[in-house]
Amino acid sequence: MEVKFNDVSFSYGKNVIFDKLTCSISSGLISAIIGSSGSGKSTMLDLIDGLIPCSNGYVSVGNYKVNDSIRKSIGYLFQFSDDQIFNSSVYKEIEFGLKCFKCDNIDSRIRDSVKLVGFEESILAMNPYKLSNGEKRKVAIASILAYDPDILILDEPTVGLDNISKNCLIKLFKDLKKAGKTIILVSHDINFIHKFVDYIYLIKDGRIYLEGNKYDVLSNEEAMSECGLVVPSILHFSNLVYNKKGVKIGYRDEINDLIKDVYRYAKW
Amino acid sequence: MRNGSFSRYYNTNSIVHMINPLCKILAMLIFVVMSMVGSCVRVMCGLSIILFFLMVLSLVPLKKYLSSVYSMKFLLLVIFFINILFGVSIYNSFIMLCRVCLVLMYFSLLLYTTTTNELALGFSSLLRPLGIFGFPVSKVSMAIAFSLNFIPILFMESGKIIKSQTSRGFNYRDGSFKDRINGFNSVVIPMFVLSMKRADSISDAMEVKQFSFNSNRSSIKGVRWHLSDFYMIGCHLLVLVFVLIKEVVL
Repeated sequence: MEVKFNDVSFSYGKNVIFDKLTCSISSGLISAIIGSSGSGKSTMLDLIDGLIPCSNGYVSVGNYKVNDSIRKSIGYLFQFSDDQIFNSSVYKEIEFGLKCFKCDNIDSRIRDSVKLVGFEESILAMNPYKLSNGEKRKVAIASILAYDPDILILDEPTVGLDNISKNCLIKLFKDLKKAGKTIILVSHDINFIHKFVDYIYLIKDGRIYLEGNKYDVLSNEEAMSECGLVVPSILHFSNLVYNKKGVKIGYRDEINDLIKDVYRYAKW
Repeated sequence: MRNGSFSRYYNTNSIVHMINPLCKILAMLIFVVMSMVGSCVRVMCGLSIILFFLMVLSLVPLKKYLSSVYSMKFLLLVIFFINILFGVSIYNSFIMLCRVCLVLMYFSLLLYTTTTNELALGFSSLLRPLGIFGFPVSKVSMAIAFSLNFIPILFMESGKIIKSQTSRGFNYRDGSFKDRINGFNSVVIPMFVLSMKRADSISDAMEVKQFSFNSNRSSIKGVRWHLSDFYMIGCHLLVLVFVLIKEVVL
């Protein structure tokens, strides 16, 4: 499902966040919205889920304007999603969303969703407050996946997670993309997102400053610095080699692939 | 309440903002007594004029005061109907409603024009005389200071939690009354957990900084009395005398 911002304006009191923002986020891709703090990234996600109303213009998901009824097709993972937990067991926690959306086959959905995020079924009986932060985040993701939304929006999904948990998330997001889901995320962790996203929206002062293929945007040193961000080290190295030696070794997602390329070009 | 309209400091550097916090708290207490003693429309009108005058002087938009009362509409309706149910006449129920509205607006005036630190300082000055009788003034004022500082944070956090539960399909606006009451857990429990977490981290931070409850607290500004403070208290006392004469003597 494609997400479209049509001349969207939004302000918090007198503070204008977006003024006639127009963009479209393609379906079936993993897209990232990046920008400095306060640039309006999380507000964009709130607008997509209809949690805050546009002052002007509208956001559409598929062919429908965003409203309360479209919320079932959107799964929103909040920045501190573990704060939303309130039930005494993981089972009840996941069940909450399913009951609210009046889903059928609740039990099988719950069991499938925990397996999808890499848990054993035994976790369902556990108290969510006794889980680690990474596990709580996974429970929050499971509670979203249980109602099978077409679009997943994720606000800083890696905050407070270690490398192992981050890599688990990357695998999960790639699997979800293969299953046809549209994933839209907001993150400051540039070195993490460049490994798996397809498309990037760089925002500054409430407008799209640059958008495009992840390599085109993330390797653009000038634009990134203009928006208060730094180019991921792995891409910066490729830029450096090109600028100093005139050799185009290309952009890679993993450091091992980059080392192989450098080794090949250096002809050792 | 959800958007925090009831409790946010609004800085306009007005004359009301400059008045010392102890004076504002005392004036509010006098105002509460006046509104409780007053039992006719004329007194309520008089108190409304005083309040309106202070609200204009505070330079805080009047819309903000009205929204703070509007956010308590259900409580006000409950008060009104409970009075009627218990056989109180419509006139007296209306006077009761006016009293609550006036007190709420005066309380908003205090909160809009006084920072939480100033309020804590005001309360500790107010309680200081009780120290003679062994009342733990510094502990209580510290607890008040923390509670006041927590109010805006808790409002902000509750907004986030409501958003996250709404995104999971919970409908706080249109669900049945029973569902809404049950769904209250989905906000109250995370809020409680968050508050405990924050209290825990603050106590750790205080312990690291060698904070001691037993030593006296000092303040850079302190409570200083100016001419305008005396005017404010004087005017309130004068009106209190008028109200007492009107209600008790006449």
